[in-house]
Amino acid sequence: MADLLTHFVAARVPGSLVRDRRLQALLVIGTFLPDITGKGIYWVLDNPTGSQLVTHSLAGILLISYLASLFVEEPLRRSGFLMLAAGMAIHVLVDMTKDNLGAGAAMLFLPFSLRGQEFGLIDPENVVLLVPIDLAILAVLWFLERRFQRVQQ
Amino acid sequence: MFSNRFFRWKLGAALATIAVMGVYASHRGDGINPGLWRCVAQPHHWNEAHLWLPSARIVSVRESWYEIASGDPEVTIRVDGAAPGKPGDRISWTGTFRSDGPRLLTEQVRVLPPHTRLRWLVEAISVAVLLAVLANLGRHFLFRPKVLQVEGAPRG
Repeated sequence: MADLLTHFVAARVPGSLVRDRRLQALLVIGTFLPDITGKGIYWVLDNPTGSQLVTHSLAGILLISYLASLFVEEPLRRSGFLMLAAGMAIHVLVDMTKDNLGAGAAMLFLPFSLRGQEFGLIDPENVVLLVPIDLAILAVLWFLERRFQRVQQ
Repeated sequence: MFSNRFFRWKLGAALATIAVMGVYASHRGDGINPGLWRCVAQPHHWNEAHLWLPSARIVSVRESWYEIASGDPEVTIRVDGAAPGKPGDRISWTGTFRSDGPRLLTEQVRVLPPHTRLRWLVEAISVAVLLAVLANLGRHFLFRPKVLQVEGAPRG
């Protein structure tokens, strides 16, 4: 569970465009689902690699979002599913920016391919440097949202 | 697909498919990046396995090889080639495990900067963020018996 602050910021920025607060909350929790459900599967299967493979793949994103959306009230379920899936996709994209020396941060096309994909932009052990950047983005977002609310009033 | 019709069937099907994928990935993923301790425990089984060690510590340095310690449980192993740093430095490493020795053949190596030791701070912040997000989710979606009670109360 490394650097959930960056995952939160990555979902919160597009989330600011979502008017419905409940859908916004689903988008944000969606970005944590790959790690949360990965831990759950890990406890059941006792296999760290396998559990992360499922939750960080396209098929896993669709299935887990669908399963989670079933627990949302019916009128909100379809858009809730889209928000959860978008949140999970943002998580995987953020993970893929990491440079795992070619090992791959996600296996997107599981179960059809076990080839790992990554963009290789950020050293995963360097995430501590992202904390002040994340906080700055959150501060700007908070300022803009307050200003927008005042204009609306 | 998103209605309440056949709700239990949909729930069961989604859970079962995720479980099957989990078992499949667990089975197929077992050979992907095995733990260093597993390689050392069964060197012939894991000969030529490709490894990625996100974080390892240089224990000692010789002219043409060096030793690193990595994993949980921590295992010390020889790496062929010139050391990328001095003893005590942390590195990120990928390469191949060889059962003769056993030893490691380097493909890519990177010395980690000292601030990576602040990773605990990132993890503490992560826990705080997760708790805050769960609290926000609960605010919007938690079951509220009081509301139901009022809505379901007999009129008059």
